[in-house]
Amino acid sequence: MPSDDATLRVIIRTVGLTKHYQVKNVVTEALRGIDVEIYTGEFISVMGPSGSGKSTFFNMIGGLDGATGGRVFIDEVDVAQLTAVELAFLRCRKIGYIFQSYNLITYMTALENVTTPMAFADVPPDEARHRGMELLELVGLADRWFHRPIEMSGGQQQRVAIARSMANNPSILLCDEPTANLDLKTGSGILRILRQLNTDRGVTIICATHDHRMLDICNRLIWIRDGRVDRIAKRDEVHIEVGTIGGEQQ
Amino acid sequence: MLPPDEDNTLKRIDIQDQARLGFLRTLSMTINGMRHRLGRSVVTILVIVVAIAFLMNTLSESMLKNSVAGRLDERIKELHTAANLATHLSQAGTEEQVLSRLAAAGEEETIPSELQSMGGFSDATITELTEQAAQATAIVTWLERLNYGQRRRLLHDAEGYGVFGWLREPEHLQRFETELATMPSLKLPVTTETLHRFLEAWPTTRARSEQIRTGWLEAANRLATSLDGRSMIEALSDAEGEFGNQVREAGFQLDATTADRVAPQAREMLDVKRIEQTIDSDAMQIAIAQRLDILPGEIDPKLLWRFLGSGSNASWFLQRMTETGFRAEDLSRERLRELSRIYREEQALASVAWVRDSADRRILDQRMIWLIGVSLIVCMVGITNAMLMSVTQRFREIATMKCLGALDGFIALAFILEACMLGFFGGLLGALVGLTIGMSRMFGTFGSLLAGAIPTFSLLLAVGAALFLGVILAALSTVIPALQAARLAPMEAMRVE
Repeated sequence: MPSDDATLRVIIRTVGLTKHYQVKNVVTEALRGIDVEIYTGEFISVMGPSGSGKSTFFNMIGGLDGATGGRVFIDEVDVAQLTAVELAFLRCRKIGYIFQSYNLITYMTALENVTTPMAFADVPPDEARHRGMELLELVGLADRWFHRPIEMSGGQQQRVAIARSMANNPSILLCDEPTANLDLKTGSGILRILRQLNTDRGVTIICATHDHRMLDICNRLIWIRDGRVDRIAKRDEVHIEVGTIGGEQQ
Repeated sequence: MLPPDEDNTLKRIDIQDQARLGFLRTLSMTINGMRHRLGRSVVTILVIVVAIAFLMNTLSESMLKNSVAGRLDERIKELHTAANLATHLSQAGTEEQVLSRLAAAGEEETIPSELQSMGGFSDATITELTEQAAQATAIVTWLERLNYGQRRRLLHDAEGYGVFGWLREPEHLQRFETELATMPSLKLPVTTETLHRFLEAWPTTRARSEQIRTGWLEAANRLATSLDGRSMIEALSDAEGEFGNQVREAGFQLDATTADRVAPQAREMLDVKRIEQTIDSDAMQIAIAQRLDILPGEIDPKLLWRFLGSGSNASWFLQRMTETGFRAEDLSRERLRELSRIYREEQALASVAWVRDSADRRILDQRMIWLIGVSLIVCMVGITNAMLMSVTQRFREIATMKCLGALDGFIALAFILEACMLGFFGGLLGALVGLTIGMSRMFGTFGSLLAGAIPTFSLLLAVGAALFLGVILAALSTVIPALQAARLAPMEAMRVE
């Protein structure tokens, strides 16, 4: 495990994380006790069949939803202790989110989409525009800054979404199936950008995915099944087994 | 294997409170979004426009009606100056009329010199009398507003100014005061002491007003002798001349301005009467009927005057009059048309006289308040519904914004601001639409009478109020949707359809 390395810090730690949903009298146990540690600069793939609790786990570590039991530490801060205003601060500057369906604001141009989180972080508009253009350049869309989402392809939209997630230079990127809505070639482009962010900027990336190409670029894999961690493996250990695992996945 | 933290981008961020977005940036983001949702915004604005237009239409029509009613009173009084003066000069007023004239003078703090000279009173006496009359009128007006049961208990069956004679009986006054004490909601317009002093002086007051009546009657009789068999109207056609002096000599007051106004009016009345009498003759009736191709029985003054409104008809009519043996040499074509115009104006005034009764001088009556209230509630429900739908449709956008660091307050404020802007434009448009409809409807009803009677300032005030109401209504209606949007969980953004 990378924890041997003294230069690495734990950035996300969950301890006995459980989550129950109650609809009338029926209680659904989405998470039944998850203990994981994620280190700065890691590229993690979270895999698991649908209904496994993967999304719930994502919401917990993204500070989007509260846990029923156990704790989530982001950078050694207990998320449950944060107020709503502090949580907004956390989401704004510490974590970037990338969604399966891009979730760009439809009425904003690419640049406006990228600068929106900066506005929330109280960055002056001129500086925000400047940084926004830099980020669009990073994802290769600087010449399309004035286009609205409807005028862009899925891959271009996802690239804008990546630029937006990086707006306030977060240390964590949470990606929820970032390539699921894209064709193979476009998906590869997205993965390349994510990999580049991970290596060049040292952003910790956590990706929920079914995409096997992700296995090639991630450091570790976490399998979740029935609300528990089924297995954690380094990429090296998994590499040989890809075919078999591919057979297991739907 | 893992990348080293070279450029120190992984430095720890201390968690702080998220900054609040400035109002102007919130506003510009809201406007940006609204531009995108123009279709929906237009529909919501229309709901507001309809409700505010209804309010504004009712309000402006009512204000215009009241304003016209005020002018109408003046105009009718003006048109009837001669007729009113004729009545005034021919017969003495009743006790009530004398007292109310005195009371009116008392309110304006002028000395009614005509009545003073008729009664032959000194300044001090007439001043005292006007004061007494003012009290009498105030008490009688107050008593008339009581309901039947209250009146019965307080006054038995005494009525009008007769109540003062009745109350002078000590046992009646005692009963009045005892009963009044049991009705705490009723308060006499004068103090008890004033009432007692007033009742004490009542016989004197009455005698003095009677004295005025006698003087008035004598003056009228004196004037009657100078009529020389003329009717009062005929005599008044000479009001600027000899007859005016005779009026003044008889003991009435007639200033030059009134005389100048009365004399031509009296002449008009005489001419009108003369011309209307022509259609009593069969020959004239048949001639007009033939010219108009109608039955002779259908001819009445109204039709006659409309007929005389045209110049060629007037010339033809004058010729007919001479041929049939009526005296027409002092009449001209222009005179006939002028009389026709005055007659029609009077008719027009009479046809809108209902406005004096219908406008009970309040801007809105109970029923209209109720209707407007319902329409505003329907409007609010409409806005709330539109905004709730907007929240549902935009849940992903809202949740994404929250993931990007938007505070609950920003989301709520953005919705409220959007509603305020819809309310502003809807209110403005609605107020203008309502005002336009109200003005054109009232113009159709009152025509030129409206021209000088537009209460511009009040109408502008009403537009401002309607605009304000539109904004407030829209903002209030959006409170619930805004809270719902603000409470939306950010994890909704992760949901995949």
